[in-house]
Amino acid sequence: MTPDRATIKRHLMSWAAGTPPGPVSAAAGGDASATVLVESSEHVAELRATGVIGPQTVVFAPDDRAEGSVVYEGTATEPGQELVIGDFYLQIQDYATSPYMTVLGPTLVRIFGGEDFSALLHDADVAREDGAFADFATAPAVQLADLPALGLRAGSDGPRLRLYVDAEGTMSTSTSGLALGSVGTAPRDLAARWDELNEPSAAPCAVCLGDAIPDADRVDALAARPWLARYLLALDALRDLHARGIGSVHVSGFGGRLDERIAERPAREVPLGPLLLWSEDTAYVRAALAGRTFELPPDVGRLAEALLVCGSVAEAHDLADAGELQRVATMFSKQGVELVAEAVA
Amino acid sequence: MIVGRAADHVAALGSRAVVRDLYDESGSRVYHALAASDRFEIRELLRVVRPLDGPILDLAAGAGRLTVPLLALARPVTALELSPPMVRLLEQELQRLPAARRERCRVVEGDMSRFDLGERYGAVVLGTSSISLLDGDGRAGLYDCVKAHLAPAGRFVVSTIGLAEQDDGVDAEIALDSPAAGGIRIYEHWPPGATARTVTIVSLAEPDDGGPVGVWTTTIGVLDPDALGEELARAGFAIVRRLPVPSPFGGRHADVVLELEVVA
Repeated sequence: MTPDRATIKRHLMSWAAGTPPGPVSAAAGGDASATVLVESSEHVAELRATGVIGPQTVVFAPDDRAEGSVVYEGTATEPGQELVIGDFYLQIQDYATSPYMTVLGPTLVRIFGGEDFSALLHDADVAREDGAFADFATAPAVQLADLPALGLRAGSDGPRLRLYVDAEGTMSTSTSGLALGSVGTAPRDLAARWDELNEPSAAPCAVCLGDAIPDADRVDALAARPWLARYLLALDALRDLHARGIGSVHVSGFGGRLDERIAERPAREVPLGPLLLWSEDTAYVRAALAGRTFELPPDVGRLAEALLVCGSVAEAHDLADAGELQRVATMFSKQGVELVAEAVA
Repeated sequence: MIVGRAADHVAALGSRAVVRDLYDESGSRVYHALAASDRFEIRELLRVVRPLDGPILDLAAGAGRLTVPLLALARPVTALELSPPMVRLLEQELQRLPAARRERCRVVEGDMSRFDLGERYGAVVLGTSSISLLDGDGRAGLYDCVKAHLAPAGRFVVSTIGLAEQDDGVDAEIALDSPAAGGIRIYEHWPPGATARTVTIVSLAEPDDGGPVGVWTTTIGVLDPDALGEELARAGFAIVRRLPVPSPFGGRHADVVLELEVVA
């Protein structure tokens, strides 16, 4: 049975970004992949036979020869093209030219090569230094692809999350990824090959952009920017606020802090932990992995920021009353959001 | 000469209106500010140029409206521009780019109707409908130069504007709030069948002290897409692809990007 529209979009974005398809986990059944996109429907039967496609796998195929698959037109592999599913159009763009394009609608921005990667790093550096984020990257309709290779690893990427099968039957987790096998390869062998390729890398995922940029360059860039994952989370947070019509937002740790006293403090934020943002009269805590945003008065925002940056109530004792800090920490903890690093540890 | 609705607006400003050519020093800055926010046709031009091999020649490059996105394709770009103020603006724009991208750009001050760059290109681009800046003799010179500079299998990519068949109005106007140029109103006076249109830009920033208000205007020839196609065919080009382009003037325009190959 063909999935409903919401499921289709969720899985398509998961496949593109390399992140789980929403709060509900893959749950594709056994070793099967949660989402598979094939360039040829002829491969679907064998992918089912080997268990790569399971009962819950969402399959995207270029025609309706494979029952239950979601039919697409166009391509996800070429910049300047689009992937069309029914009346849903997903623009595919390369990162380097994206600043010069009008965002027409849902847009997947990919790293196709070194120029794109350099442009992304440049924008990240500017954001870190000046707090200025590239407009297109924070447009609500934009999604960056292959986030695990850019430092945002939520522990879920790999062939069990997503697979791309090209016209010749070669399989990877991404259209720019290193080959993991071909149609006929068993899921456990795909997973083993994925682990094997990642094992020697100092900054996995080494697979999903492995064909686009040399891993040494990627690793060096990530090592020089240990905050890159938080930059990607910041983009997500800004998109969320922009989608609600909230603009002129600053991100703590990017160009400054809400509480200027913290500006020079060594940051002890958990890499994938919550972010603190603020506008003229409101603060926000964004728990990106949970997909939740909390709106706060600025004074509470300062307390939250102190906890995030300092890592604990004790370390932030000189910035605010310990009782107030604890109150805020507890308030968020009850919501399932940990502001203090020690709680996460 | 300012005509149509633009004339009414300027008349209402009286002696406060300071009228200048859109392509002079001050007009270049306004034009550049507008161009920076106008991304129409860039998508279509990149779509055509991207799969082509080799360096790119950007004719009538102006202040880099197309040069900068073309540089993002990671190939060498030569930018040819006649106007010294525009060349200066282009060089300033290039300074804002990462070094690796900037160093791929060669800026040449020159005339697109007669140039010799000693190089062959996979794509020669003439966007922003700038082909209409040339008269017949100028375009003949342009076509000869383009053919001499195209590599085998290279493409000439040119944009032009047209009036949609269903539009029979003479005047159109749009208001913009450009981050760089501020609030402006753009008037286009283009009678159906006319071979030229007049574009007038009026600043909406009126000083409280009754000071001057900037007005910039220019009259440029128009080359209907069909007429241009026929002319290009006579010059030895064949249309490979014709892509419609959205226009800031909406359905009034029928703008296109033409991808052409040399056949004779």
